[in-house]
Amino acid sequence: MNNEKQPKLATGAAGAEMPGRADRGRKKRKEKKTVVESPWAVAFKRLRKNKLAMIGLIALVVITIVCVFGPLFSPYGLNENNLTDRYLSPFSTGRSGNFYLLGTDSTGRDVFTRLLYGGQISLLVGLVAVIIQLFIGIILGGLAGYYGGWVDSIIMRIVDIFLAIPTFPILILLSALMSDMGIPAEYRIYVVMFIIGILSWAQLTRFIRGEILSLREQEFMMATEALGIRDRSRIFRHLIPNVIPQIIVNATLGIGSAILFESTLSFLGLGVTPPMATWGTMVQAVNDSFDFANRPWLWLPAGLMIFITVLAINLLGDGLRDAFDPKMKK
Amino acid sequence: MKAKRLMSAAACILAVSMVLSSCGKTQQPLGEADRVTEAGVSIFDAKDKSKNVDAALKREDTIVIGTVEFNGVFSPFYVENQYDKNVVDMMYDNLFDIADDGSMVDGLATHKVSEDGKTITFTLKDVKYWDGTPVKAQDFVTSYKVFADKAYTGPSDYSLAQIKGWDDYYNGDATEIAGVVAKDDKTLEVTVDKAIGPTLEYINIFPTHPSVSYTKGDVSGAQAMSQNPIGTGAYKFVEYKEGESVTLVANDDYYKAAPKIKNVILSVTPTGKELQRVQLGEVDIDFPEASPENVQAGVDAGFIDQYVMSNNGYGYVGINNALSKFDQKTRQALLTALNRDDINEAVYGPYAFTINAPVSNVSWAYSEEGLNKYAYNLEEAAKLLEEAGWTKNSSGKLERDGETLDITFTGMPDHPVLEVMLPVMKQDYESLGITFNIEYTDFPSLVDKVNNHKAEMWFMAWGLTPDPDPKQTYHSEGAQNTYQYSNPETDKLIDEALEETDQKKRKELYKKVWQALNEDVPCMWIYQRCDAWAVNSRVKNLEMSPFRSLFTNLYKAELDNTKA
Amino acid sequence: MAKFLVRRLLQMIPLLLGISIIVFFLTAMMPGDAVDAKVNPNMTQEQILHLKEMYGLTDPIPVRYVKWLVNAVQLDFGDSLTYLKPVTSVINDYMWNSFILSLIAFILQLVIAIPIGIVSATRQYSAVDTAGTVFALLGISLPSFFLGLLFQKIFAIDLQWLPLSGMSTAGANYTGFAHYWDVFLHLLMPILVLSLVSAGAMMRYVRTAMLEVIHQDYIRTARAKGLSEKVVIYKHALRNAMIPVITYIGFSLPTLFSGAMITEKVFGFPGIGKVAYDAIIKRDYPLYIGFTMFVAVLTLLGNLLADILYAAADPRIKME
Repeated sequence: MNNEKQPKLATGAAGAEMPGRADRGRKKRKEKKTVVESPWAVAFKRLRKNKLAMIGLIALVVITIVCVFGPLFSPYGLNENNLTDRYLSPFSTGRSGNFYLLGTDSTGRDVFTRLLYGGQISLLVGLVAVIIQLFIGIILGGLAGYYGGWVDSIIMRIVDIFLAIPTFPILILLSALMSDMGIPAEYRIYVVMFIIGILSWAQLTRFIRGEILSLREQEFMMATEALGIRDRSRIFRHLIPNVIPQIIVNATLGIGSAILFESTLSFLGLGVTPPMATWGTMVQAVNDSFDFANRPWLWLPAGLMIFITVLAINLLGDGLRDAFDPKMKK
Repeated sequence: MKAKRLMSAAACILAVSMVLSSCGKTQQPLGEADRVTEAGVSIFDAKDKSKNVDAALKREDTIVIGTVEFNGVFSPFYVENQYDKNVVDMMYDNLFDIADDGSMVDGLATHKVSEDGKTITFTLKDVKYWDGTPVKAQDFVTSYKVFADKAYTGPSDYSLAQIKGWDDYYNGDATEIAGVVAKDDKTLEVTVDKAIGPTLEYINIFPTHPSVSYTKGDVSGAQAMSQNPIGTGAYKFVEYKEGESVTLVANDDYYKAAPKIKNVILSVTPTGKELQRVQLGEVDIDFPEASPENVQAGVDAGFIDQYVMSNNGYGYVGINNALSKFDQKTRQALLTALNRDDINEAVYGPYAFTINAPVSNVSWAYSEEGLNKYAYNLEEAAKLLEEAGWTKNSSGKLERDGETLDITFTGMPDHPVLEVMLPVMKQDYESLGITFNIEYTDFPSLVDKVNNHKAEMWFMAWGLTPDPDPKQTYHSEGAQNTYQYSNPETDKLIDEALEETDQKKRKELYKKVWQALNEDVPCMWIYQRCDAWAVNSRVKNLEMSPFRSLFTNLYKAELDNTKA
Repeated sequence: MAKFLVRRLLQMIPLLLGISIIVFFLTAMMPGDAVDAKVNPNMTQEQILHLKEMYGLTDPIPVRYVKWLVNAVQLDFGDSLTYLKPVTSVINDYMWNSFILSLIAFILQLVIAIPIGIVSATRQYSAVDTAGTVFALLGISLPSFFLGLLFQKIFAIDLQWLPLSGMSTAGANYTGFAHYWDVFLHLLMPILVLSLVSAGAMMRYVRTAMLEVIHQDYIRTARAKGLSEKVVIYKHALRNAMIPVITYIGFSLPTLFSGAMITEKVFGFPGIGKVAYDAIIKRDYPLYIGFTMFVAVLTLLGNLLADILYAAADPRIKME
């Protein structure tokens, strides 16, 4: 049971001890060592002990490895069409004598192989989009919330504009521009990932700024002020870590929606084009009533993969959140 | 998507040609259709009418028909969306009706054509508008004037009819159109500058009720007809619920015969749910995708009649003929390397077939004489490419005069044919040494790119009119010749066939046109599809043809609500 | 506070102007225009050009913008090129349908998400928490049309408890109570789909925020004072946990009016979402721009509302 008086985790510069720090209890247990661990290290140690979070982490690593290296071991390519082997159910062998683990799709391609290739793109899309979003969102949200006044005003008005502008025309224009510039279709998805990130930072910024507006009035921030800690430090080493739980929630949701959003983009000509596959586009098979009811192997694996990925990220995220919270009973 | 759903009015299929290449002639397990109408519609009768659902049978005097969407533009002048047009078809009649075979037959009037073919005299039948006002010849004159007015911004273009004095009215100060004269209340005389094959189709028009205001330069009255329709049609407008449904009621004084079904409702169906709505009884008729699964499901329901017929249109892969890499031999090679039969079979089963000329198999001008079938053959294709001068370079890619054969295909997402065709095309073309890149855009961007001749290869579909004239699409001066195809010999053949007024002679001329186009391959014709209608078996006497929607003769249909 | 409000409202004017310029130019620069989108194999070039002229599509973009702006400030947003009637009229026709749908779904979302989020936090890692988490993650990892299609299949097609699509039963001519019941049955599935899909996200935010607050000292103090758990949670903890929820509510205001395009498409619901999407696809500029400006105004108002509510939730926040 911890005994701190501080309501929040107050990180100090190395060596500067704040009264009632998180690891006072720890210090008591380890009498010999007087080493000061930064709260980041403390958090990661605790994370390792969180079973669910570790499961999530391992799952993510396994999925990534399988998607990246799996295709090398598959006898099928991404675009091996075989019109005689169409719509075969899982574990069946086609007229050509080939065995299909997860069955085949509308042109006779192996669903399992395409699932792996698709994972490569989907995972990357989710990751890149969210990282960009986080990067911009944290900086601008932090600045806006911390400084308030006209800095806040300007940044928030920019946020307003970004939120008010419809994204579809921008995306269509982007598609046309890339088409005119002759950019090969395989590379367009990367440009798009970048753009998704840039278009979605506005929401995260508002969340972060809102939290910070509240946090900066709390006592621990007054303490940091009394100590004369630099602004940049105050924002990024004191305030932001306390916003991390919100950031994590947002990132978790963000990755899932980025993966799905990519498939919506294909309707505007911005997503992947055949023969490339992504989990998002494979899930679209659900739109056909017949496929939905009678050919679940077309969309269920991809949908399941998205769910598992999001779940894993979420478990990991929850673990991170708990690890950063000094009050956790564990 | 829109392109694949373009339907249009009219023409006919002769029973003979239907047997050879028809819709509804299925392999297993459906077997042959139970009956084939004169218009070439194959019908699979319901096998177990006792399964009919109460939700439908309860609607004793009302028929509900599913549709895709409404824009709410119900003015016959401005109607554009084909689903709005279905409503207009029930409310308004024209001088000519379209017969099952696509030719023009007398509608609101009987007609006589002068010796030189340039003057058509109409004698109006005794017809009244819904409010009892009799139809007069002057009413037709008003209609023509609206279309000739410069302020008119609708989709119809009557200038193709080449009516005398049209341009004077459009560009000049004329207050009347010289070629359109109401000789008396019952006699209308239309004179054209030049008589061509489709003249009768091009001058076909509806009358405008005298209460609709029109003065030269002010077409607001014509536009307002969307909200205040008044016509002569079998069904009268009752109500429009935005984005949901249109309700009409029978016009018991309809000049042909009183409609047997009292109320008609058109109800919007979300895409993909058409068959389900018929199965549930929410609608009596709907229009699902003509796929083997859907047709089978309809048959399985027991109480659903399946009507299957050819769609009057075709899907094609456009090629930019102006690019030097796409010379005639190369185009022929590309067509030979495209496995059209298997692709069509994969997507539509028996409900689509490969075509080798830009004419619908339901048209009187259809002919396969002397056409090269360009059967799928990769070795043949490789040979043709070689003959065209392409050789494989060190990396295995085809090269000619220092340039490799790279093709960029611009397509639209969410199209069932492209989903199958593109991967197969990519695999086959690349095996020949062609670099094949695929890009997607949305529909208007695609149209823009194609119209500005920036696209190399693309996919689109045409919906056709009854007349088979392909001038706009394949003549070097054609407005829609987006593939930039130009062959003076073919131009001559097209013009000749257009100007001939005798249909039998035209048919022979068109044979030559199709042969010329088939040889040149300005674009790759992929398929002609079938349309399928799922109809609750309580609906009897439903008439439709590939050129005339079921709405035109809906007044003849009746409901039999017994479960027999 | 009054000064703050006035200042923000005044700031909206140049903002809207700027947004209108950006939106107009973005929309007008999209390749293809309304006439192109109507592709018709028998239109002659003259006719195509004539139509473009009549629609004002051949003027340079800045000229078109000025013409539009002059009319817009008088609240005349032109005529829709697809529906051939005033833009304001088209929006009015469809928007209220979407509004009813979205409003009820939103309320339902709050009713589901907030209590479950709170319980998830107070009983972390319990069965409720786990179930709630899985359910929320399902909501965000599956596309919204999936849930819609699933419900349709189960409730409309297989069980036949609910109607498949639309807003009312065609051909039934219900009046009075029967009519309202009929509409209710039609709205049930779309509302459920909308609320369930978004409830998950909101629930996660509530849970996380509550977890932060619950362990704080002043909560321990409140408990030590002998206040009942209920009062502690709902009166003291919840208020401070509301910050992210308020942010979220701020975003939701414009969505109440802008429709849910995918759900409307799945259920054939006559809403503004599909109309707006079609407007892009068909390049119906007046309609699309008019609609976007309307949503822009709501977005600005939504954020303003959120900012005001922050101050109400946490008195320490100073709005300058």
